[in-house]
Amino acid sequence: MVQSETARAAVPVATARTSRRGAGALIPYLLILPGFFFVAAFTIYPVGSVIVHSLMRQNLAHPVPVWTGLTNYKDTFSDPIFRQVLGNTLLYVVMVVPPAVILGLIFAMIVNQKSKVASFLRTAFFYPIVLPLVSVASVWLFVMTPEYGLLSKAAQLLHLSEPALLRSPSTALPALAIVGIWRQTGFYAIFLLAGLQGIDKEVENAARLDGAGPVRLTLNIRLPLLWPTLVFVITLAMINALQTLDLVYVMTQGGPSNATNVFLFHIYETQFSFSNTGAASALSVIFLVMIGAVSAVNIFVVDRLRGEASGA
Amino acid sequence: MDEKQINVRTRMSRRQMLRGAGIAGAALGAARLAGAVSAAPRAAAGPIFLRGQGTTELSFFYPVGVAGPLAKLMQGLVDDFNKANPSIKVNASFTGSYVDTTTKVQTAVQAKNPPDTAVLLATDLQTMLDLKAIVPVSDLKAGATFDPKDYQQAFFQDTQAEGKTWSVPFQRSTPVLYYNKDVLQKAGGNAEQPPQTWTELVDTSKKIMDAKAAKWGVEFPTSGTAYWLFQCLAIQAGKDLNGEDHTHVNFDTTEATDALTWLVDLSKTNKVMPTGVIDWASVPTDFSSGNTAFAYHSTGSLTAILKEAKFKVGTAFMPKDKQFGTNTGGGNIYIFKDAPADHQQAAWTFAQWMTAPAQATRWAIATGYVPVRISSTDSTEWKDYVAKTPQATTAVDQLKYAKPELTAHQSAQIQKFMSDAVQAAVAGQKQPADALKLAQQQADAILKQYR
Repeated sequence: MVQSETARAAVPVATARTSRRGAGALIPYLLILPGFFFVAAFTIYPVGSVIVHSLMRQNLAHPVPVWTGLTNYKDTFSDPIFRQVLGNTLLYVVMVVPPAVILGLIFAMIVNQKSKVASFLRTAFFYPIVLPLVSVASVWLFVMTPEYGLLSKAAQLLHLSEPALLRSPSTALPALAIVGIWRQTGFYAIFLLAGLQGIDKEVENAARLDGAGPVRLTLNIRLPLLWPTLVFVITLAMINALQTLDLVYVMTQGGPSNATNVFLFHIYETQFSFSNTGAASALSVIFLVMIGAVSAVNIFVVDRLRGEASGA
Repeated sequence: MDEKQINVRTRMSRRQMLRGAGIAGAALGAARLAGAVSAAPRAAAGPIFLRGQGTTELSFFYPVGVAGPLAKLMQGLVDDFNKANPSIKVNASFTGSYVDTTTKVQTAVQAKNPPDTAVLLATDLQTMLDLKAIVPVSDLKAGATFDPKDYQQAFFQDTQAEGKTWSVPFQRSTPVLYYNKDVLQKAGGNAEQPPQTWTELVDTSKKIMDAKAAKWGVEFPTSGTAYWLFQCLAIQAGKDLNGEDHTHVNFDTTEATDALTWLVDLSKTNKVMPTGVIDWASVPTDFSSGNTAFAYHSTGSLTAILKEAKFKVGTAFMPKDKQFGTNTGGGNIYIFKDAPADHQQAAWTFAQWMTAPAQATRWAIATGYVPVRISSTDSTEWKDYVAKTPQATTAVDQLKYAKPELTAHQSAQIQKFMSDAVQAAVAGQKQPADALKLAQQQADAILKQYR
C-alpha cells in the first residue's frame, strides 16, 4: 500500500531530525488530520449532535432544549403515525426491491448477449436514472392524473374503469413503487451487466464444452459467480428504497391520509413543518440504525463471500 | 426544496453507497437532507453585499395557493413597487405552496436567517408568535394612508394577538361553490337559482347525472390541506372546529361527524362525486372542462376558471345545512424580527403599498381573491369589474358568514391531524366518528402542553 510506505519512510527521517521519539510518532496522526477533520465535521459531529438532540425535548412548545432521556423514543414508538410510517417504508422496500433487482438481472442478461440492438437497449434501460428525479415525478404525476392523465385516457379508450391511483390510500403507495421500479431497474442492470462481463469467458467455454445449454449456463455458472454483485445490488436497492423522499414529496406529500408517508418524509415534516427537533432527532437515530443494520449485513455477507472465493 | 437540491442529495447519497457506505454514510445522507432544506432560504435571500448605495434591499418570500399565473402577476406588482419606491428594492422569491413557504420560513428563522418579509397563512400567526419570529406592525411607523378600519374586518381579526397587529391581510379568500349554468339548465334547473342547502345540492347533482349533462355532480377536493374546506362544512352543520382559544379545538363533535358523514356519502351512497381523495389542484380544471357541475374551491381561482371555462360560470354561497357558513383563507404579509430595523421599516412600507386600496383592487381583479380593503369595493375599477364579472361579488357578500380559519398552537400539525381524518374517512379507511375522535386525541396531546 502506498500510504504505509510513506508512513514507514517518514518515521526514520523524523527520528533523524529530532532525538525525541514522541514527536516522530506524531507524524502519522498529522498526516491523517485533514481527512479526519472532514470525517469529524461532516459525519461524527452531525451523528453525535442528532443523538444528543434525540435525548432532549425541544419543540415549538418548549423552544429551550431540556434533557428528557428516552422520552422522545417512547413517544415515537407509541405514535400510531410512526407505526404507519414504518409499515409504509418496509412495504415500499418489499414492493420495489425484488422486482427492480430481478428485472435488472433480466435486462443485464439481454444486453449481455451480443446483438445489434444491445447499445440501444443499454441506453433505453439506463436513461431513467439520468433524468432529474423531480422531473420524473412530475411526468408520472401527469400520467397518473385522473380524467386527463395518460393512464386515464388509455382506460377511456379501452372502456375500462378509470384508475385514480393516487386518490386512494390502498393504491397510492403501489403507484409510487411502480415509479421507483421504473427509475431504479436500469441502474441495477448496469452493475449486474458489469458483473456478468467480469465472469471469466474460459469458465463459460469450459461449461459449454461439457454440454451446458443456456439455462444450465445461467443457473449453474453465471448466477453463482454473480452472487457477490447481486448481494451488493440488493443492499443498494434496499438502502435506496428506504431513502425514498423525492417521489413522495412531489407526487403525494405523504397523503392521502399518511398512506405514502415514508420515513424520510416523516423526519422532514416533523422537523421542518412541525419544528419538533427532539422527535425528528429520535426518528433520525432510528433511521440510522435501520440503514446501519442493512449495511452491516451487506459487509458481513460480502466479506464472507470474498473469503470463500479467495480460499477456493 | 427545488429540483437541483434534491438531485444533489440523490446523487451524493448514491455515490456514498457505492463506496460501501455503512452507518456513517447513512448519517451523512440524513444530515445532508437537513442541509439541503435549510440552505434554501439563505440562497433565496439574495446577495446582501451587492446592495446599491442608499437602497434597502428586501428579501420577500411568497407562495402561490390558487390556479393561474400568480407568480408572474406578483412579480409585476413587486416591479411596480420598486419603480415607485427607488429607495427600496424588493427581491421576490416564489417559495412553492403555503406549506412549503411556512416550512422554509420556519427553518430560516431557526437558522437566524429569515427573509425580511413574507406572505404566510393568516393562521401561521400563533406559530410565528411561539417562534418569536415576527414584529408587530402596529409598533412600526405607519404611513399617512394606513387605515386599519378600511381592511375587511373578517380578515383583519386574525392579525390580532396580545393587543397588537402582527400582519396585514394581503391575498384573502373564502371558498365558494362554482357551478356550471349551462349544465344546470340542461338538467331542467334555473341557472340563476343554484342549490342553497346540502340536500338540494345532492338532489340537483343526481338530476344532472341522470340527465347525463355532466359526468359528475360535485367535486370537493380533500388532498393536502383538506381541513380548510371541511371547516366550512362543520360551521354549516352548526359548530366551528376552532375552540374557545388557541389551546382548544372542536374536532370530535356531532356536528363535525354529521359534516364528515355527508361528505363521505357524496361518493359512497349518493354517488354524485368521484371516490377517493380528490386533488385540490385538479378541481379547477375538472370544473372548467365541464367534468363536474359543481365544485368547491377558493374564490382565488375565479379568474383562471373564468378564463378557461367555455360555458357560463356561476358562483354561489356554499350550501347550508343548519346555517350558511364559511371560513376565510389565504395569506397575510408578515415582517420578521431578526431583520435589521431599517429593513423592517422598509418592509412595512412595502406591505402598506401592497395592500393599499389601488393594489388591493388590482390584485383582486387579477386573481379572484377578495379585495382586502373595504374602499376597494367602492372604486370605479371594481365596479366596472363586477359589472362584467358578477361572480366576484359572491365571496365579498359571503364574508358576513365568515369565521376565522382553523388555527391553534402548532397549527400546521393540528391542521394536518384534521386533514388526515378527512382523508381517512373519504377514502373509506375509517368511520367518520372514529377518524374525528383520533384527530381530537392527537390534537389534545399537543395542545395540553400550552394550557
